[in-house]
Amino acid sequence: MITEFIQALTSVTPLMIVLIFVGVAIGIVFGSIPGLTATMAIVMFLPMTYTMNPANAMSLLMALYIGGISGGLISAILLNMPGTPSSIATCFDGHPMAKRGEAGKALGTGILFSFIGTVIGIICLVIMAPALSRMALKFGAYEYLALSIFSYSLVVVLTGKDVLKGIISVILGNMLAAVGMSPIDSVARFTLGDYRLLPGFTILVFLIGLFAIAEVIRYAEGVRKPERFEVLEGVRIRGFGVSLKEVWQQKWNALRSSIIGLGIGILPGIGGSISCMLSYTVAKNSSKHPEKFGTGVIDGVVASEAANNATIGGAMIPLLSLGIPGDGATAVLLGALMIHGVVPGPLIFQNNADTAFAVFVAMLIAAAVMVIEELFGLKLFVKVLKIPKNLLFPVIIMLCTIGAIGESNRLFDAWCILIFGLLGYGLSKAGIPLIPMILGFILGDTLELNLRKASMLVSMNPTSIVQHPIAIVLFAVTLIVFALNIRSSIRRARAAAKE
Amino acid sequence: MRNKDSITGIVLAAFSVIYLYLSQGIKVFTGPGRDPLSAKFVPVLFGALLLMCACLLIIRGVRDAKKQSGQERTKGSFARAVRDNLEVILTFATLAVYLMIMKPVGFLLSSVLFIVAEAIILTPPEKRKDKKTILLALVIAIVMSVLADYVFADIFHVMLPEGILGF
Repeated sequence: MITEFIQALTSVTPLMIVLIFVGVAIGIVFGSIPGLTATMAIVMFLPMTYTMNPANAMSLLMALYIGGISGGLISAILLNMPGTPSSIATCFDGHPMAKRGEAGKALGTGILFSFIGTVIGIICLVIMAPALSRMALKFGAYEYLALSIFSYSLVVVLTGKDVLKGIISVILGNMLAAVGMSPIDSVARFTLGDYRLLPGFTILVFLIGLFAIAEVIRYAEGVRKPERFEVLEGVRIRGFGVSLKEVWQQKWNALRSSIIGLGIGILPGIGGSISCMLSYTVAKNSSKHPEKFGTGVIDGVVASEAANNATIGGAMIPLLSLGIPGDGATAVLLGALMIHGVVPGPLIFQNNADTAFAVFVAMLIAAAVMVIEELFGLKLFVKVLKIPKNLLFPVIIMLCTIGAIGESNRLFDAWCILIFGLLGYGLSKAGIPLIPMILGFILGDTLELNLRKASMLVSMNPTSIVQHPIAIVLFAVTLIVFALNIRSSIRRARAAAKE
Repeated sequence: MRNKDSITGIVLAAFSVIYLYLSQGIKVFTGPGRDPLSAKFVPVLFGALLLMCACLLIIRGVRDAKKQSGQERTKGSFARAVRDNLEVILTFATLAVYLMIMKPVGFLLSSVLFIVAEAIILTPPEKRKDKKTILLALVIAIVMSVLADYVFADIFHVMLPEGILGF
């Protein structure tokens, strides 16, 4: 492992460094503008990487990812609006600090601990991914089936108060994934005789429509009621704006938050938004002065930012070692890797180890670049926040259209993003969460493939599942999670009925 | 007696019925070596599950609406609904037109038109007639479209439609 890492380090080219610099900068811009997300950045720039080699392509995309997740703290602190969902919890203490005139300190703390969280995530990724791959080599149909169902149960339970709508969301995702040719026997399904639907919908088109188009539509909804926000001016950071002593005081908070972020990242389907909130809550509850949280203490900023950046490393673990993405952004990265002929999964460290380690190295470099760019370029990024949205969004739609067309060089995909945009908008109006649907869409094929394979195994040897303890454990945990959730729902309903 | 959840439920139920109907047309492989679960199984399974959940949603919606019947319900007319959501409808319409004219007119020209139109739609009504706004939108539209066309069509070889301008 060390040799491959060193090899990857020495194969870093100047072009890669340039790509990472550009990628992080663009990522931070996307991350800091509310309404644009890291996932959108990756989705929009993926077509640009088609003609690059895998290492360069992944360097750019990872830089976008890391810059994007981190950029959210800028608007969270200065505008009290998270630039990306991963920075929601940063608003709670970051903005009060800014209002008190401590914006520089809040930003510096956020940047520093974003970096720390990213690095911890990367270190764990480098150690755990190869190990998990070795274990996953033994995964068969039962294990993947159990893993998929387990992921569904987790994401339904963890992302919303409304379990019924979460379940509906997952089911919708699966139903959309079934369009096209079926796994195993390649039967045409739901194509309505149109050959263009034969390959099914790609994740890129799905995500562009759901996120980018739907976001613009939401903005269009509010055109008549403009939100007035003032960007706090005169922000300057000297160094990190926070003393060494304060940094050292936060060490356990940072470590704990990073581990929470890592754990959430590993779980498929849940990402930065959950990890920052969870980490904030845990930090508040374990603090000696919980009442200070929300008034502007750096503990809150540290907890949120360390967690959401560690989630990046965590989400890459199941992506690389199992081929199962941890969130929307990693789902697009999955597509990116496959376009370049690298198949993520247990065999990646045998067949494409150089690409995998190039990804690790790129992530580390991107983390460092992120700190540099955010510290020195902060004034520029603040200016970017002021770009009028009525000009920005149409250009974004145009770029997304290019991205969709460029996916398979056909106009049909551009129509698909319109349809998915409508769908995303409609679902958000109906209060149905989008994340479970995305996971359902991503895992739909995997689930069906392994379900049918498992059925074959069972029909040949009904007791074969006993030889797969991992699968049994996962099924059991899924059932427990569901049972617990149903019980608490019933309790909540009873309590509400009593009022 | 209707509320948002029950309307959602009805729409979803209709969708699942259509989906189940279309699943009937899926060809099932009946030869040797087939697996116990056919290509029809998963779509039918999820279609049925969705139908069930949609019904639960309808029931819940009706029940919640009954609870809320004491509160006033603003009876909105269709015209009012359209007016309130005008920008949303216009955005979809503009995007659809953009995609429709892209092949005949070409990417560059249609993008310029789209960006100007959409920028005006997304501007608050009071600023829409402002000459400066329209001019700025036009400039940005032309600059960004030309840039994008050059970068993506010529450098990255994405096949963007050429249309009447010939490039």
